[in-house]
Amino acid sequence: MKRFFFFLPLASLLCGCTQTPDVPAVASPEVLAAGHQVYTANCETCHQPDGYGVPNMQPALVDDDIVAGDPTQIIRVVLQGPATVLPAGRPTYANVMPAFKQLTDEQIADVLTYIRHDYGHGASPIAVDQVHTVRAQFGL
Amino acid sequence: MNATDFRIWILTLAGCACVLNAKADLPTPDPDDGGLKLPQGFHALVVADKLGPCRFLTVAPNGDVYIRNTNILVLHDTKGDGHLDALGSFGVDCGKGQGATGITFHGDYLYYTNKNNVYRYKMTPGQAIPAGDPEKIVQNLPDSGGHEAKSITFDADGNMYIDVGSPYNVYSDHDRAFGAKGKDATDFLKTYGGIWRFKGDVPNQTQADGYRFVTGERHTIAIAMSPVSKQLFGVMMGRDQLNTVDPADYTAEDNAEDDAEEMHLIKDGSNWGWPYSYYDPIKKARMMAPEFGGDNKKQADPGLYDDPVVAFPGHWAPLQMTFYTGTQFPSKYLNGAFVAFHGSWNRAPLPQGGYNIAFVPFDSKGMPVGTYEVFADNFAGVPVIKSVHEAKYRPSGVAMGPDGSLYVCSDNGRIWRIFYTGN
Repeated sequence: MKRFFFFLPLASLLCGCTQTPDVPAVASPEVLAAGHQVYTANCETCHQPDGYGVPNMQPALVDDDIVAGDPTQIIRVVLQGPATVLPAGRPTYANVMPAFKQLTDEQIADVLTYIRHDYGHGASPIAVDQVHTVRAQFGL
Repeated sequence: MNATDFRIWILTLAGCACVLNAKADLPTPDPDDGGLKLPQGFHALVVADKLGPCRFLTVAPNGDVYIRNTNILVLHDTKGDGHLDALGSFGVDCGKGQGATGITFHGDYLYYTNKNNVYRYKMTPGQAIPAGDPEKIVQNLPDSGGHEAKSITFDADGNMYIDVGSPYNVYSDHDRAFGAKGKDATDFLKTYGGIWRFKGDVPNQTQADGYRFVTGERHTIAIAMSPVSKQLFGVMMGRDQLNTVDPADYTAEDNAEDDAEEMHLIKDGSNWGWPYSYYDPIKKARMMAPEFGGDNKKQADPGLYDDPVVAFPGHWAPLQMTFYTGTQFPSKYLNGAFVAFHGSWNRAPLPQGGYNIAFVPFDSKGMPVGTYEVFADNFAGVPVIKSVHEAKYRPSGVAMGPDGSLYVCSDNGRIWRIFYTGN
């Protein structure tokens, strides 16, 4: 365990080039629990409680490259909806996800941290500041 | 045991087998009935499996099964044991996904659809796969990339009915979004959200050549004609996400239970109330949609829209429907309807529902008595379905065979033959 804690800051330093300084390296249990609550209230009806979506209707989040990919892009998907953000040639589904800009920055950070942790191979958490920055940048 | 004794023993054994299997021409069912739960006396055999994505199916007079995937696949019982083998596939411009749905025999023809067109092949007895090209009967029906499936049904006069579904949950400024506000759907409903009647045998018709028979409906591909009243009935896919749009007035449980899948009598000029309203099977009332000022209390003005003749639970997703005209099943099933419910995704946090074949009893005049019962169940293979992904099979088609057996297919390509032995 001591070696694990020793290497964690080092790993953060090495990966720091892709993260803002405010982004925690790992998600806290409190944030994951809060993110799960936001997911249950806003996301699971379409993407399903297990994140596997519905064939042809709504995409799976599990193992999805966009979920685990660029933080700015996935924040914009939530704030603006995928039809505005993602390339036109992507696989599409019968139901179009609306924008969820009514959620707070903290709710969006929590839920994205949750889905990236649980469905996105443990991709980096999303900080509230990152959501705030993207919302300001795109006037949302 | 000498040779004569052995022959007598074999004959006796065969006789016992015939008694046990009261209908000797029925196949031996699977020991577990293909995983299905069926009423007493019914059994099932998996007759084909792993066919890939499938939608509707139909059965020819000789028992061959024609099923829609990206082509039209023909299956035949070559060994005489009930199991079906692929004879081959055919079809042009067959579509894919939900677009590859409709198929039905009518007269000497096999009709099929993609998301925009209706085709037919002239069939020749003894020739399972038709020669030549199909004839295009209807062309360029609209679709906008959601609920684009088209099915085909005929009335007693040979007219053909095609539903053009709506790509939207509700016609509004931000579909499915929190706070969405409804928009005037008058123009939209001129080409979508209705059932159009066409001539069954005139080539190259367009939507403008058809007649809008029903309007104000979201998407109805479970359509069939009562063999008694000769009336058409259809089960509409109801709206989703009441609580997503208006969480102040609707709980997730309200969304799961309060917006029915509606079976309607398809009659000339009727309006089923979409997108302005939905039918609440708990309150037994037609309610205004939250996008149009509904608040879980406000009812639609009386007399504007048809009420359903049967209300199924919300989100079960009706796909194919067929009337039962055989004599193999007990007489209570004669002239009633079977509906294949694909199964819900929009009932969380409650368990998902549907994933079954429901039976709808009809009276002696060919009208529904107003109830339904689950006939075949456990397609999902798990007692409680929280997420769609957990379901092993989702019914997508149901059709009757010439001997009165019921054929059911799943969207991942399994076909069950359900039959009644009484045992």
